[in-house]
Amino acid sequence: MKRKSLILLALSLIFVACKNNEESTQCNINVNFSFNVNRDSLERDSMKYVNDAGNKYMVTDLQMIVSKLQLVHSDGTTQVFDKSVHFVDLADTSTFTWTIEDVPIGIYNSIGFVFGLDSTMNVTGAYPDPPINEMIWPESLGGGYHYLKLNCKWLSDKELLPLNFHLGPEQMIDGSDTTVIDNSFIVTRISDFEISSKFENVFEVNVDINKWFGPTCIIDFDKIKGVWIMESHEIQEMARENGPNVFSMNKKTVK
Amino acid sequence: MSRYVEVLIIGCLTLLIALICVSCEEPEKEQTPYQFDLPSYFPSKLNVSDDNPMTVEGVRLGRHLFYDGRLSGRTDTDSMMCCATCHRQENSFDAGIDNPLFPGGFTHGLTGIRTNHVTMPLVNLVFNHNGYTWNGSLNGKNPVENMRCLEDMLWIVITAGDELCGDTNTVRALFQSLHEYSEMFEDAFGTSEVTVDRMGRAIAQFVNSIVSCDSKFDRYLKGEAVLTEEELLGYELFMTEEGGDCFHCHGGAANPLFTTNKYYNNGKDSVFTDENDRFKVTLREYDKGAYRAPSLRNLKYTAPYMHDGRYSTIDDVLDFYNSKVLNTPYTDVLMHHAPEGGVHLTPHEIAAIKSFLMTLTDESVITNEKYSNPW
Repeated sequence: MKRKSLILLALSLIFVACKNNEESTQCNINVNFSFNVNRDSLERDSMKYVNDAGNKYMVTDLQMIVSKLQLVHSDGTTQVFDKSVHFVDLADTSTFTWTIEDVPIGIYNSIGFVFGLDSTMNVTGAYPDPPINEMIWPESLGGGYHYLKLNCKWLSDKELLPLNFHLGPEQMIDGSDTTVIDNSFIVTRISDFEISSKFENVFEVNVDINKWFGPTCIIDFDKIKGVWIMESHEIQEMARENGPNVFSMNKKTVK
Repeated sequence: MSRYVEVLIIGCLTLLIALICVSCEEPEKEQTPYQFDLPSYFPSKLNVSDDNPMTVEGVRLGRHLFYDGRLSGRTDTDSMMCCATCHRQENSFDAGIDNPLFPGGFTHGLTGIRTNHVTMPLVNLVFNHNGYTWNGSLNGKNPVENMRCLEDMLWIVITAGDELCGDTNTVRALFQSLHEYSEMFEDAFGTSEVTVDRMGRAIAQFVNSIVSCDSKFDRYLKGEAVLTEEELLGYELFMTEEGGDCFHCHGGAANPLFTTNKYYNNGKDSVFTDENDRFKVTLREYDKGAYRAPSLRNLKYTAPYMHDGRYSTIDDVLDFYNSKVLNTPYTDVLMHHAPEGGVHLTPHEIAAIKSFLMTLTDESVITNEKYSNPW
């Protein structure tokens, strides 16, 4: 009896060991964010950048939210990871990698994610835990969360001035119009690729800070007084136009 | 049977026997997990160390230690000092401007040396994931191993010249000799052995248990109270960039801690001589003169204000933000009214913001018996 039990135990161990060697049908993918201005890596606190309007500026802080990673499979189906939300903070490199777990392996045609939170997710109080709770957006402006806090200092003719380039949903509170404008948008990379458990699945997202300010819509810090834009429908719209050019995405092959 | 399988089987058998032996041992006293009763809009991610889970017994022991003047390692009345000496419940666990021991709220240690900064209130620390103290020097990335978490605070406080100015061996030996603690240590940690590590863990558990979530504003969020027109106007101004613009650093309804627990230079000075600002921690040039944004909960009880206690009243603070902010290269970008010297609200609007701030007063912290002196 004892001998049988021992054999059974040994067989169980062998079975477990073999199972681990089977190819998984799911794996993780990593989306890595990097920041630059034109082609150079972003240097925080360095007064050396010039936007399309000719304003000289430096970046002191950047926080942003990305969400809802989505994959279009070669069979035409779309898989949306509708609970996926990620906070990126320039001051904390550990936030530069967004890991999505349990992604089905296969051939895909495109990958995308939402910059910010779409209207289904952007609900006041939905993310009470830090660090996302520091991104709250005033209820009077539509509520929910900032999609981006890009904090800069820039040189005007006279002095060093702050620029809070903060994006989020906007409520038209002038007059009777209380429509909430959703300024989130989808960043997409369209090209066939394979998700496999045989190699690391890494996508690199490059964020070009300067493109928030042009060239599609040139944002001149002098004209907007370079201070705050949360309550400016016009600037939020311009940023919305510029936004898709800010992001570029590539798949990195890591064997 | 191959040699490999034999070794594998012997290994498994040894493991099995060890497991049986462990399960046959005398069971240790079980601790009761500590439960928080938090509103739905509060953070659920708690900063509790994996190796120091909160228990009812640990919190009870921590509460007794927090209020025990013998933490200084001395027993004569004049030389007793503990956490509660500087962190008084009646001041929302801050020192308080009306503190009879520390005139103006400026604290000093047993030897009379002033602390680097005024105290910070010990409320809602369990939701803070961004370091402790005004400059965040006590944080998980600190290269000094025993300056990383709340549990390390006791060791620091006992040995600091501007605090208890004692030594840990004396403190440990003293508490080991106090019979009233034997059972509490046994209940909290399984044996009556006293170590400074255990004492620090228990105090951290008690401090983490101090939560403020029952102010008038909380009841408003829960639909149990109505804000006055003035308070609502104050909240509106608090939450808008063109108003007081307080929310970027101090939160709001969706960040009910009323702090981001981040560090900002709010434009008080143009010359920075304090060696214990945020720069000391990060070595980032633009962190000179930066300090943690404190929670605005129970502001009424936590004067004096700012890291150096330069303002005695809330009116002084509001006056500063309204018209005395300095625009230096170090002033945080979020202080975007700095180029104009402040937010320049009308007296009526300032009064409204103050009314709103008073809705963050949480008397339950001041009166709750479970946070009070057990001796």
